[in-house]
Amino acid sequence: MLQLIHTLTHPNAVYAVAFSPDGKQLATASLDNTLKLWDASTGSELARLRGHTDGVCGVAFSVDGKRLFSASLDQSIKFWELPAGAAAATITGPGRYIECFATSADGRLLATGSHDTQVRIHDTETGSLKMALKGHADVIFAVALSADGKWAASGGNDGALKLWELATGKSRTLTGNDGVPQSLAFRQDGQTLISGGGTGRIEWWSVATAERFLTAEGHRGVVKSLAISADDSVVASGGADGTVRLWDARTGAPRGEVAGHKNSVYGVAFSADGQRLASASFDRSIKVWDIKGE
Amino acid sequence: MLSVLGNQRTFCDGISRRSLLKIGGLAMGGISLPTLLRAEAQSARPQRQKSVIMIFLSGGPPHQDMVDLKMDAPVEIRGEFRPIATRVPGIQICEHLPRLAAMMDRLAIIRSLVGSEGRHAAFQCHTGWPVMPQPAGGWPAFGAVVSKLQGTASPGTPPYVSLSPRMKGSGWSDPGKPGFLGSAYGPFTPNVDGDGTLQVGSVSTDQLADRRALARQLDRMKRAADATGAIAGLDAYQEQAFGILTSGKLAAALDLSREDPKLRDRYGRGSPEPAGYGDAGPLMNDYFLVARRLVEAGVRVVSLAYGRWDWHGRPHGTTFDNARDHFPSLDQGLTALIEDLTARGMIDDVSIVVWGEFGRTPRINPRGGRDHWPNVGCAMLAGGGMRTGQVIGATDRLGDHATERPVHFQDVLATLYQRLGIDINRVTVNDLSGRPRYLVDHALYQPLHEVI
Repeated sequence: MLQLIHTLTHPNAVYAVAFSPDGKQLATASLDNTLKLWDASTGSELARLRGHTDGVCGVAFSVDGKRLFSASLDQSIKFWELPAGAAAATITGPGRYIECFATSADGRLLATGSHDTQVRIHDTETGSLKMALKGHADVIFAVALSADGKWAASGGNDGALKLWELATGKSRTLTGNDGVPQSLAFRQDGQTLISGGGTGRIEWWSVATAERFLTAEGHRGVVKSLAISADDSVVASGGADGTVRLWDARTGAPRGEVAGHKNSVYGVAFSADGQRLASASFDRSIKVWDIKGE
Repeated sequence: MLSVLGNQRTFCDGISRRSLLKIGGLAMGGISLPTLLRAEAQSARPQRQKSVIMIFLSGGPPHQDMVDLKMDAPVEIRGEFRPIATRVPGIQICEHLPRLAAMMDRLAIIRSLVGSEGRHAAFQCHTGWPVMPQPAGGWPAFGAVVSKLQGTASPGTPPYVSLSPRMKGSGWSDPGKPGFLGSAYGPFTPNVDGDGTLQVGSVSTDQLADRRALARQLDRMKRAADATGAIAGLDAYQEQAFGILTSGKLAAALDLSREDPKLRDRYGRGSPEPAGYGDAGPLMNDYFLVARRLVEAGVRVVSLAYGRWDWHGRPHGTTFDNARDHFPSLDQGLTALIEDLTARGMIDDVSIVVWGEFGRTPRINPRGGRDHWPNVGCAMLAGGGMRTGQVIGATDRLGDHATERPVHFQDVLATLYQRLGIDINRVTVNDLSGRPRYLVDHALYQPLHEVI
């Protein structure tokens, strides 16, 4: 069950949201070209970070909470120093739009998916490009990194869902997925990949066998965003139908839903303690939810 | 440029410090003082003043998702939305426009707008003419022509105001230029800096009371204008200009703090920030209310750019994400404007047109967007004593082209001229060579008989 705590806003669509590791702050990324930092307990705006020249599609905190990473449609990645919010570095991107963004839970890697059909893996310490993964035939719509940084997953507008072993750069294409993959998340144990599809299905895949072993349905239309709680127990999803849904990460059973937004939900994020969820929507709002027991 | 900058206090006439007045861009498209003043003698006309509000949907709205849904088309064309019934039996529009649906009897929808060049050009809507070729000086915007022909309706207010901000995309940031008529007939542009307030300048409100300071400003302005040859006869109007600047009438019309907050809420308020990734009109419903206040104060033509409708798809959101964002705001603001004008007894005197530069491709592209489609587009008309509650024209099963009653941009402008009492079959304006020019190509285009 989701109980609304705060409604926060940007003057344009909100593409991504992240909790700081200590749960005290939220960072949000918007099509208004800016990021905002918020006090997660009061909902007050702490800072607005300007510097990108196009929409900001991804945001994540560093593991120590001292830096913020952002990815933008302006084709760049920026590192921001906290709490000042000063842009510390800008990494020139692929020369085409960045469409999607992810970080590994161990904090070492970040990944972007681009309109040049490549997935790029960067070192978060130096910003350096570690590898560019080629294999998709169209825009990358979704990307995820396993917690230990050993695996990446990508979904393309070519309909392909791929698993990449980062040690070798080799990929496997999963088969039978629900249309064009729109969102991806690894379970923390790195054994399972979860994908959100083009017609509303959420699918669980074995990383070891590349087989699908579970499917959940509920969203009407595209599953735009996915997140998994730090204890691997709950999956959150956001849809083009404006709903936010919770699922049992082991069984796929629905655990709650709320028609929380008036437009597509582009981002969902759990707090580290799993007690709160934030959802970011094209309706220009971010909603912070308290996750109650059943 | 002469501007008036608000200070930290409230004026004695009650204008708040956020109400800043700019008499802007005299040599660059701003309204000139001669224009402001020339027709004061005409202001005592007995007939009710007629006005036009032009809402430009910058970027090109998707006709097939908005007012001409194609439920029989294949899925790659049909789109995500469903039609809903309207107050007028047999007419359906998008489910995300419920208030307009409930007010359909007060709207005329054109489903067969043709003549677009397919380029991002507010010019298309302001003039009706193609961008190329143009006569020397360029075609004048509708508002500029009205300014030339009818002048000021009310002392202290310009005939033509554009609320459009300056945008990066020069094509859609065009506020409606005066062309060969000369800058004297350009729009007053209080929002040219686009920060949501009316701004800036070298003359503070404190200095307004200092007539000597104003005189110095006007002298400088005149010298600048003379240097460009743009303005003549400023001297004759200098004294009256003091009155315009200090009367507060225009500033009062621009000051929404004077409105009932509940009415602003009904309009929907909005944000002055660009509605689309750094370059667009704002999705600012307050400007609809400002437009009403301006026509109420005597402005003849108000134009504004509203939102960003150039929805090519990801990564800037699909057409349908953007439509779910923009449609409800337009639905709220436009219905509020019509209701408000009706409540004030002004609706039959104020014509409203809502349109963009073209329609969108029938086929949804791989990024979930629709691209430019000059074949056909749509427009909405309201008020002005026009016959509403009807659809004009039709497109084929795919929304690809007009199959009935193609309506050209110039047909619509001819209709608006007619509503203002200007006969497009007789009236001309001289171009720079002295050649009389008809306002539209009247051999081809005429006021829409369906609405007049």
